[in-house]
Amino acid sequence: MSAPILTASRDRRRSAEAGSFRAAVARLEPMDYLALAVVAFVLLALLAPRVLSPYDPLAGDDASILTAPSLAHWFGTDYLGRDLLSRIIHGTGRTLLGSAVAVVIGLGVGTILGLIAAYFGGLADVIISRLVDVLLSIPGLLLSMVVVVALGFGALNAAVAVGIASIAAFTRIMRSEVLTVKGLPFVEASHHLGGKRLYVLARHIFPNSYSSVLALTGLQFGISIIWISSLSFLGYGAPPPQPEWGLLVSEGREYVVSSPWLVVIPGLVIAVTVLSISRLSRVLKEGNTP
Amino acid sequence: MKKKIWLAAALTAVTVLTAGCAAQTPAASSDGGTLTYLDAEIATSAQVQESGTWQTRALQQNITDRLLYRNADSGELEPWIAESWTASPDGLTYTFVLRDGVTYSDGTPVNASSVKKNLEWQSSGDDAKGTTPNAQFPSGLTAVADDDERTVVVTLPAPYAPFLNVLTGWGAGLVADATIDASKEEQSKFVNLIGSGPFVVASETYGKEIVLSRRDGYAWAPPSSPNQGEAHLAQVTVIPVLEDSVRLGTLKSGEGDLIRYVQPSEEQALADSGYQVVAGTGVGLSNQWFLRPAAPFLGDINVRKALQHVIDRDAIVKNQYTGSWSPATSVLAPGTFGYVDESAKFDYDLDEANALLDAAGFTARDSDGYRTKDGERLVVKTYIDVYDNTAKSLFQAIQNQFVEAGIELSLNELDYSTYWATAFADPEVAALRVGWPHPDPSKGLSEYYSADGSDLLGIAGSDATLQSLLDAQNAATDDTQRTALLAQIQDHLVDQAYVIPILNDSQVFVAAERVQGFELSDGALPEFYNVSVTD
Amino acid sequence: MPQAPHHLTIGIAVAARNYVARRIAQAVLVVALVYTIVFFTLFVLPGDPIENKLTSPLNPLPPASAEALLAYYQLDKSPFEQFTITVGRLFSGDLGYSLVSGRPVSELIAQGVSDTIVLAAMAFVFTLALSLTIALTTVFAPWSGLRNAAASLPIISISTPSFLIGFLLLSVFSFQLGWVSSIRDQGLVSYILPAATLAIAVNGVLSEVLIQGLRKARAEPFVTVLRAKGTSEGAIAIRHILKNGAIPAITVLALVVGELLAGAVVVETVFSRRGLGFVTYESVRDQDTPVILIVVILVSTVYVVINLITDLLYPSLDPRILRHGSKAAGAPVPARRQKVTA
Repeated sequence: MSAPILTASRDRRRSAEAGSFRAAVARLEPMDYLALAVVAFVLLALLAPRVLSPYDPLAGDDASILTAPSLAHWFGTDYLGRDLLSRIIHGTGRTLLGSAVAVVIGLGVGTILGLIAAYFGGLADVIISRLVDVLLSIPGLLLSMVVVVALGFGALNAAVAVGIASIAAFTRIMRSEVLTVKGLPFVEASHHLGGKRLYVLARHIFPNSYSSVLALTGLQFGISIIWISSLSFLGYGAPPPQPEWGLLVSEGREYVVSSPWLVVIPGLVIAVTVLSISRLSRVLKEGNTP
Repeated sequence: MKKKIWLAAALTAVTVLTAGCAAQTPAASSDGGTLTYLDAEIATSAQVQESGTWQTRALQQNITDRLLYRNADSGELEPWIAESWTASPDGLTYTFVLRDGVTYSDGTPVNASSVKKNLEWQSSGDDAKGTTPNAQFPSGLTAVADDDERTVVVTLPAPYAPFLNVLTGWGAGLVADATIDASKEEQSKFVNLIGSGPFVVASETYGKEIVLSRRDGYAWAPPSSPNQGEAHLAQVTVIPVLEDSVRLGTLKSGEGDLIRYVQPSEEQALADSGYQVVAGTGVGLSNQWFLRPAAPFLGDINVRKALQHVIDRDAIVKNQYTGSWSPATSVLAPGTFGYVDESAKFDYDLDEANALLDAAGFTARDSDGYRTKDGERLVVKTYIDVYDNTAKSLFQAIQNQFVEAGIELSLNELDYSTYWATAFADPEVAALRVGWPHPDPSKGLSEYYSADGSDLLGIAGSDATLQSLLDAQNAATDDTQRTALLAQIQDHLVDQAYVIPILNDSQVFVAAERVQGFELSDGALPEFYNVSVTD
Repeated sequence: MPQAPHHLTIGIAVAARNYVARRIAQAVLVVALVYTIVFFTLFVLPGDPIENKLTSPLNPLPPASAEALLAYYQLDKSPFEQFTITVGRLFSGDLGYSLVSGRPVSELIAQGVSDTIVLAAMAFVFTLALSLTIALTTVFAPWSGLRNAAASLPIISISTPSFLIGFLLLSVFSFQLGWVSSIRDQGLVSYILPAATLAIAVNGVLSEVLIQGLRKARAEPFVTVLRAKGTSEGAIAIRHILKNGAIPAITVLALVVGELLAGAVVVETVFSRRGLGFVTYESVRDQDTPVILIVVILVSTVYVVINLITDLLYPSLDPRILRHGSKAAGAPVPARRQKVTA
């Protein structure tokens, strides 16, 4: 009995997806391809830093301390003669994994809370919504500072702090998505047709609400990079000599007279990476919105 | 039509953003001009006995005068507020004859009663107000002022060799009764620090700015000073700028005249573009690492000695520092009372280090190339010094040199506020940086290495030789005897490889070309008295 | 939502008043919850942060003051008792004492807060100006190149770390051109660069909401009607599209202010300023929990109050709601804030 309806809904979703994917590809502008290239390069730096980086990121070369960008050192060298490009490439892992940890925490906890609030409603919804209000009333960066004070400084703790600070955004979007999907005719139909609650949940709500959550995940990933590097910049994150991006900027400040590239280049790398990720996640979002 | 609207909107925004961008130029200067000095830290408390930070001393140095003056070039003691002085042979009685006509900036005289009050206050603190004694001063000091207010006789309960040197230091600045009588909270404000020095605090905005103005009628500089009258500068504005980039940028833009702290690499770039780099090594203890025998692996003197030979100080100074810095040659800095050159004992010698480590049984190597013994890697744990702005690169460079001998230097980092408590309490820690300027070396040595002090080595009692030497130096009153004892202490600390001398630290200042006559005191504090700024 | 009475204006007024009262109560509850959660996060962690801090030999506090503070915070009591004691003191105006300097927290906050209020206020004005410029250009600029360029600005704003913006502005305008002093107090002029940094870093969300709002308003049927009536394009854009399209942006103003205040921590550090942001930076660095607690409460109170005001004002500002008459007027539905993610 239920089969035709479910099939129909699945097909509709699939076709919408396929259509939107084609539409998304068709909509790609030159800048989007550039963003794709940046993200591809960043992923490569994450997976195989040794392949890309021309030098050892931790080994200094006394003969070339604080040299300006050149053919030998594209991004110049730092106060120990370490190659900045290699340090940025090797820092990709720490920086991006930190953001990944943050997003996994935000997405995981936020999704579960959002689902519970929207699906069960009642007291659960009241409590969770109030919690979201509380978390949202503290600006994210400030909230992550509070958590990092409680946990102690360090790369992982900064990532966890940023993750906790992003839970509210995920909870809220998941809750509203689930509420929307819950009201859709085919979901109500499958309910009436005797679908078990959890089954319905898994079968319909997840697939149908994932697109906007995915887009938020992309955006939040970019924002996490900025927040984590801000925490590192202030000295609350990864300790040296690890080449975390925000830390590179922070360390470069002392050499601004002779070597401004030590601040500007890592700063731009952060900006370009976040920009590319945000841009792509927006394409994704637009592509999935009917 | 459309065009006009968005254009108007854009223009409005631009106007708002740039409104009032016109720069204001500082007021024109007269005679010696005005100096804008950008310090790297905030001067927190002016309270005399408790103020230990460098930035506080720098201000006290210029606001107060001391009884005696220690010539930075010759190292000799010279008269200042005390015209002459004598010490009894037993080291218990000192007599000071004061210069006539000296007054504090509130008009009260710097006389025998005032000096007596100052010295006793420094020695015993003020329980009622909760101010502690000055740690540099001997306790139980009593003084008698004679009736003509020109002579003070000081009596100590026990001989205290560093006494006269201490009287030259920043912490021994003489202050008016009004300051001593003020509440502790009032004493912590610079505007309430009333001295007889060449500058007076005109205004203070905590954490933002302290303005010093010239003391009118100042005429009691140390006799060796080229200037015997008032200071040249009409005003000195001291602004704490914690951001390195802002401090440097402000100097380069011409707004600042003088800054403290630059990275050594920046010194050269600045010198090349016409700035004056003024650096000084304060007398006292050199920048050194103590080695704790109780730490893992360091119980063996061969390992400690090997560590002394692994560090190539010349290479570090050459690659990362400038002419303002030099390799340490002893536990004490050159120019300090009792200094002996010990550098031959801990020269850079990788072969020697390797031989010592082999002898200590660290013959095997692990997959990373580090030496091991019984399967344990030779690791030396330290924390990066938070008080030295060049420490990060220095420690990392030493880490690289340790690798050459197969030793892992485990670098750990703590923030400013937790460093002291955590690093020094860590039982695993093998080496930490110590060594700072002191007007007299005895006090510093006892503070670090004596069982009565911090006992940084953690060997209180077990090395009786060291303890007896440290005790003897504090009681010795004869200069020859003190010199001999200090030499033995330096020998012992280096021979037992308790200490690795690293560098002779420098306080580095950079001044614009228009700043003239800027010099550092013997403790490497800035002296504004002889400075003038010409546009 | 209360059922709106259809026939009585008095009923409408009562409902509206109840609604306002409930919203205020909710806001108070949120602030109280923020205080509670932050207090228990910071004060009652395993490892006794306050005791460690005060008994640390490095703590610059004189021993007597440290002991006095140990007694003041009553750490031997249970966490709940500590909480009630602290709340009681809060209501009597005692905000606690810094664990590092021993100074009253109220004094530390008072020292920096005026500086940061001026900074945030100027940054807020700049943010509005910048967002309006970007949105108007994106929607109305005559050349597609310019429209596209303006349209890409919000995402660039969101993606660029504020420390980079601050460093670049400082280098160019203070160090190279010497237009604004980097150290001297020049009154309002001193705030321009840090405020501009904040505005550039924070305007993204507001700009996007404005762009969406303007586009939506332009697509409304009334625009076609006005055009047919012969109303000039300029008048349509300013008087009608901007007026209607800008209204949704009101819902993100609280968020913008919150971001400005949090951003001040980084920006005041970059510019070496001594406002509340710097106090926050220092207290986090030194794990000075009593100070952090008060800063967080202050910022979140500002957020909640602005959010409350905008939520309450929103219905009365939306002309569509007014147009639809009693139905909407009786039940002032608070606008759900836009989905903003930054």
